[in-house]
Amino acid sequence: MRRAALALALLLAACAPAASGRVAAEDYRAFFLWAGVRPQPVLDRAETLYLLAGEVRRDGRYLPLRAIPRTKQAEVWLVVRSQSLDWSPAAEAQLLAELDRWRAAGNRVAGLQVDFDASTDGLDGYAAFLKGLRSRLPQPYRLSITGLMDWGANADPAALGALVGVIDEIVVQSYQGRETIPGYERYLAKLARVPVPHKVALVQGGEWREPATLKSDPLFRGYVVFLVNQ
Amino acid sequence: MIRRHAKSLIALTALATSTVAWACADPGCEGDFNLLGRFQSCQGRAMLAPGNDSRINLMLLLADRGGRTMEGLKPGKPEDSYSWLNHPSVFLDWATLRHAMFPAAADPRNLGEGSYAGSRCQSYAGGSAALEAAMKANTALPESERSALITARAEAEAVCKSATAYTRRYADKDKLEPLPKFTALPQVTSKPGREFLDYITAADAFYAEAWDDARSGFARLAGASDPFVRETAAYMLIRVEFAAAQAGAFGEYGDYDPAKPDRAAVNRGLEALSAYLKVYPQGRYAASAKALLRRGLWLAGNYEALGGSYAGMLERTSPNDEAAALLVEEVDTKLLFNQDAKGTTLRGPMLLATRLLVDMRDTDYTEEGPAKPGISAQALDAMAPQFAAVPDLFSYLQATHAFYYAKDYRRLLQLVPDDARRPSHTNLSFSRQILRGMALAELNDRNQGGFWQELLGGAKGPWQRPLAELGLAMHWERAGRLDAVFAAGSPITDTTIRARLIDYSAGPALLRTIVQSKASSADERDLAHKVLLSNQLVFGRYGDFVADLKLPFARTDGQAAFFKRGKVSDGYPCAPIAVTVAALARNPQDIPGRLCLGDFFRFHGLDSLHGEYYPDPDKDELGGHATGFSGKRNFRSEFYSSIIADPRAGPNDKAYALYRAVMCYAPSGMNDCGGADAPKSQRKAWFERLKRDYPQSQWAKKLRYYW
Repeated sequence: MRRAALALALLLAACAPAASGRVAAEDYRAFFLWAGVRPQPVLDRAETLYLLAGEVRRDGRYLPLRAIPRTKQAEVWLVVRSQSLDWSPAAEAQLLAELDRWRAAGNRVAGLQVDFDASTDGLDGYAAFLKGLRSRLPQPYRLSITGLMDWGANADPAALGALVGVIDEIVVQSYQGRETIPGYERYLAKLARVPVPHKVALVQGGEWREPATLKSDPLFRGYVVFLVNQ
Repeated sequence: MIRRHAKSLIALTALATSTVAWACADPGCEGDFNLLGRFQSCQGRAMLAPGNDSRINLMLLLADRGGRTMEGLKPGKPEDSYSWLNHPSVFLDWATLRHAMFPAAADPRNLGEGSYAGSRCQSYAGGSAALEAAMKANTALPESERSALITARAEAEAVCKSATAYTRRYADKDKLEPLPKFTALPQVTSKPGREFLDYITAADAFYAEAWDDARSGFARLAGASDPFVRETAAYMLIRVEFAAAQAGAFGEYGDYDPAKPDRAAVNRGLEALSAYLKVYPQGRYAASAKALLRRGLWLAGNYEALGGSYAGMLERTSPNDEAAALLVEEVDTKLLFNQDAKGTTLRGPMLLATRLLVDMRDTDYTEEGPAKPGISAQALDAMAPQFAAVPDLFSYLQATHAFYYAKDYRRLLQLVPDDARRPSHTNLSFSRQILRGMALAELNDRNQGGFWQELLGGAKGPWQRPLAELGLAMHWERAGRLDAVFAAGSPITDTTIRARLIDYSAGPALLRTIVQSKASSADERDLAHKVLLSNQLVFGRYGDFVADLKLPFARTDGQAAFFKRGKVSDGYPCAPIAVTVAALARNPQDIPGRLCLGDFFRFHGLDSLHGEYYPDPDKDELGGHATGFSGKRNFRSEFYSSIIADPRAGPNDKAYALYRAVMCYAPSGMNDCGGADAPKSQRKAWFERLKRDYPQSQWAKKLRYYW
């Protein structure tokens, strides 16, 4: 009986991503590549890439962490990690210029992704910041943010609602360090509360079993795998 | 409460020098609310600790060396308070410490940073200004040539403005487009004019990554008559070689491969560097050249020499200068956490101690297995000779190991004698005494309260004072003396610490005292009132609630205000909460009373209080020893199932209970009402019963699905 169950699990793992067990990057087509993480062969098959380009410091300064990429086919998001929402005008100008330079270098640039860990209570302030940023972000760049699982579970509906029409997507992190956060199924079950298109970020090698609720969530847009050095 | 997902928090000085920084702070991320620093965490403490970001530890040591104390530092801006550092008055991260030590406004380098920052072109504007000044200074340069040259230099910026240089890097060699050049070479015939033009042309080649042209162009100017051109060309040869060395090391994703720099170019650059410094030891680029020497050593993979250079700089750099922060960041990425530099002999106690603290992290992330430090006590003891000049630092490292791994608190007390009664503390002396206090707490020493209070006398800086208060507050909480925290004149002044004890630890009697205490601020009385009333309600202590509702409200618009003026109904009619609860005090089974109380829970977020996801502190955290409230925690899901089963319930009440019981699972299928989960079959049965038995009720009409 036990053996049969295992065989079934392996079968599912082979035909459907993340049916059970651990996150195998080869099963996915969208990836985060953070600074300091070495590229892996699986990136050759990427359809979407989220590349950490740099960070805005607590004092508002922008610090690049990556040279301009030249990707072959994948659509690329320029990700900026942000320690502060008090961006200096120079930092914002640099980021917008960087988007143009990435595009000029031949990349298919999707847009800008902001990685800022707003606390669940601070989401309204974050939404206001994003609204301003959106208004200055030239077409056709899209705006994405990373998000925390807690937002779906505990955020104020009005603060979540303020994100509608401001951002194009949220990529919700399901991990901490190299591990999937225990109890992720229960948090993700509330992801449907997030009223903008959302993806779920998984950590390479982390535990993962797709919750059934995601399949029926009309705004769920798939997975992004956060690569880690092996 | 979900912990923030961890990612590498990386701080590299500039793109051109970026390298792997994978481990400096890749923690899991929010730490516990206590003094323990065994696990890597982005919630750092103002004491030398294994779990701190290594940059914090190194900066604490550098600040001690330069005589800069925590006193006088200002915590960050309030608008940053909704960032991920959850308790910013008690804990700190590198960015917070950096910002407190070097507020950006004071640093002129932050002004006028153009859009080229972090790229080679960031020196373009400064270079143009210096060039113009030099041309002005050269009286042999005709005015007409000077203005033509300025125009040429301005036009040459095209290469920085376009992505051409980047594009070329990846283009096929045989398909290379010509570089953008000056639209027309200016007509210059004078000797200095030709020299300046050659300089501009070579610089243009440099920014356009045409290394051979740049190299030969600058080399030809070695004998130039103009002193600026001669010196700058000699200096630019260094930059050309180092830039050329790195050019091939960037990959498809803009990533940098430290194994790929061109070593021959690196060596040529190092030669050019020593040649420059030999001729111009006090030259206009001498400081820059010395900094470039570290770049060269790093590119050459000569980490022993690089480490020696860092050790010297750590001894010299002032902690009052932002250069200290840049140095700490550089050391972290280029040496301490540079994979390729593994095994490098570290020199100087500051570098060594920083590394040893990292090595003392518990590498067993799961917290399930036995603690696993990266270094044994024996290996640590063997380092003694290298710390001969700083015995207090070394014994602190030994004591840290003894505390976290051998748990030999008696030995720790010998290694770290009592020195709490100082008027002020260095970072090291403070770290030592906090650790001693932690050992006293583990030993349950009867004098620990006095020890912490003595330590508070000299703990004066931000993050330092709250840490000592945390030690005392944890002791008082465990000793059952929470009232001392809130007494008039209490030394526990940090609002985060006090609020946490109110939230998690205080029982009804103390909360009632705080609500009426002149020793507490209005915000604190308001918080205590909210916590008191919320707990009375969810524990079903209705009579006490009615009495406590009559206590004076500290704020009309505060956190507790919803008990006075909060929403009570969105369809099912309910009286003010005082009336509802008074009815429940008379009869806890009152049916409309329970339905209305359930709605009140729903409107005001009381479902989660002491529920499944309530973040109860662990026993080893502040707030982990709650006096608490007695009684059973009531969840509204229980009200509904009880009323559904109650034959005395009227049809409208029963229909509403069925409606609400189903709605507990909307829209996610997860139970939002707390209490035990009902299986889906039960939810279906409720839905069908509502539709079947009460088809005319507004609740049956309103409910279209079950989940």
